[in-house]
Amino acid sequence: MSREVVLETRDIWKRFGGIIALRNINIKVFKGELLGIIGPNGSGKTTLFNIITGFLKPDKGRIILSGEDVTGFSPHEMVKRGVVRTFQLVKPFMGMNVLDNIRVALYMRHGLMSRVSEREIIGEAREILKMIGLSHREDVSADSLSHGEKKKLEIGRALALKPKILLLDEPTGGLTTAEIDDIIRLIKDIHENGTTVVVVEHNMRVIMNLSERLIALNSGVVIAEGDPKDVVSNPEVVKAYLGERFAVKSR
Amino acid sequence: MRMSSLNNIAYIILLIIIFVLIPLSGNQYIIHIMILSFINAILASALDLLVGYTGSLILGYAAFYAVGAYTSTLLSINIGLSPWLGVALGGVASMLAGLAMGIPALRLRGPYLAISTLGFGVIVYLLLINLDFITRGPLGIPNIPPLPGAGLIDFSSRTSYYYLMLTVYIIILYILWMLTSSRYGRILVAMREDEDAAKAVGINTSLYRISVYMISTFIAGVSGGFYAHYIRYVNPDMSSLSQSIAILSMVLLGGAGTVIGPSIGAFILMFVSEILRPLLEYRLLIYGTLIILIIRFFPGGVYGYLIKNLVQRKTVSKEIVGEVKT
Ligand SMILES: Nc1ncnc2c1ncn2[C@@H]1O[C@H](COP(=O)(O)OP(=O)(O)O)[C@@H](O)[C@H]1O
Ligand SMILES: [Mg+2]
Repeated sequence: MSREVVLETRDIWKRFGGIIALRNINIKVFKGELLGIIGPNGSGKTTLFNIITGFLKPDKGRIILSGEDVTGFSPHEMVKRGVVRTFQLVKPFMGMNVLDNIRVALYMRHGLMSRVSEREIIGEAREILKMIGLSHREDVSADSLSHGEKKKLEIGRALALKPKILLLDEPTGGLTTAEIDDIIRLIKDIHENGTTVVVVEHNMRVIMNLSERLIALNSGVVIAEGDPKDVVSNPEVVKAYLGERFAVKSR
Repeated sequence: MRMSSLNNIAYIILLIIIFVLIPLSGNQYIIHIMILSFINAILASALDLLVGYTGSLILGYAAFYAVGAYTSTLLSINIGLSPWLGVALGGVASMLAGLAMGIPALRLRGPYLAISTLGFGVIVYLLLINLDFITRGPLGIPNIPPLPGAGLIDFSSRTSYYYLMLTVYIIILYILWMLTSSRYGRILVAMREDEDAAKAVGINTSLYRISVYMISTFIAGVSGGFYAHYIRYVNPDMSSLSQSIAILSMVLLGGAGTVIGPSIGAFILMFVSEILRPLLEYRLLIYGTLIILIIRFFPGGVYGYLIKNLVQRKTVSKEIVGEVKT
């Protein structure tokens, strides 16, 4: 592939006490792609996101963003460079209403001192609410949203930051089939608008529907990488996933 | 402008008129308690910036009050600095103390932060007692010069000091109201609600936390200075644990995170503690019990309770209720 690499991890290691969560992770993210990451529970997917976005520092290795070494940068420095993430366990600003959740993100994108008026901010926030399908809920306090709505808000708040690279951590976890279809459509829209998307998923239907390229992790190691169909039929992936895949099917 | 905010403005104007009229009663005792109430209301509002808007339990806050008071006192007595400048520099000194406490505590949350601020308060208390070649130790410092007059106004009279404190109080409350309802204030609330999410939207949480420590402790130091030049005597008890607990009680009693709540708490507690003056020894016990009862039965404080039971019942404004929550 001759496409431009926007994000690269080089020899990333991360250990928590006795557990090695990531061992020598080398991955590349290409500009404009929709990259999927799969792996059984505890394989290190969230840890990898935490390291890329500055929430955790790697023990070893480097993070390279469009040629710049950003290893050890803080989350806000990564956001400033367009690297934005969502959380697997949603983290809305609970006591604030839906609109204000988006507004805070918009303040940060425009800068606290910016001359952008409150009216423009609210207009922009409503655009985003429309996109994620929460327009009718703008006055509602975030803590009284349903789980599915919180998942959407989580993505909406990230979108408000106009990310260059959007990292979604299990965006469909715990959702109903109908809600999952909404999210798939939303992610495809975001991707088609030119955003590079990396999505960690557990749900095979979602990942096969979305990813252009797939990486499989197991016990902190990349075990397969490439075309999604090849990756999911890779014997090692099948072995790592076997129990879980049956569990998913028998639901 | 909405009806409800017009209503609020009407209440505020009414309140200011009452404040302006009080000295006309000529009751020196009431005027005195009111002056102390303004000073304490300023102090409690400043603390609320940390307690209510960043969700940090600060147990040693009186230290900043004392640092402001002693700085202004020592500068005006020892080098003859104008008490006005002294009050401002007391704010700066308190702010530096705020940085000294805040920066090492940046990573601490909850009970760990509470304990470390308690420790900071104790350190300041012990310094004021033990650096007796500067502070005269437990004896305290008497004969502090009063604030000099400006033009025709002479602040050595109690009534004029009353109006000065009323003015300072209104200005500071207005600033705090602007600050907390601004984008900056919303960002603070976002941090309080979820620190990780705040980082994920690009908020430099350490920087914001430091900035709010600086604003809060500056105001606390200023209020200490005004106290010193009014009472004209300071001693280390200004930074005592019971003083810290008293300020915290005002915030919680009135309602944390509401701008106006801490003032309500300050006025109530100042007048109640005057009435209960014979029980002075049991101050800490009374405040402690009060805090436990408020947290258990009225988590929104007096202001939160009023809003919930008066305003909400009349179903007026979702806005105000939202304000209380956030
Ligand atoms: N903050 C942490 N402290 C200790 N152990 C952690 C922490 N975060 C993750 N782990 C451990 O690291 C491993 C990988 O976890 P994680 O990255 O959450 O996996 P995944 O997202 O793929 O389910 C797990 O064994 C998990 O228990
Ligand atoms: Mg995970």
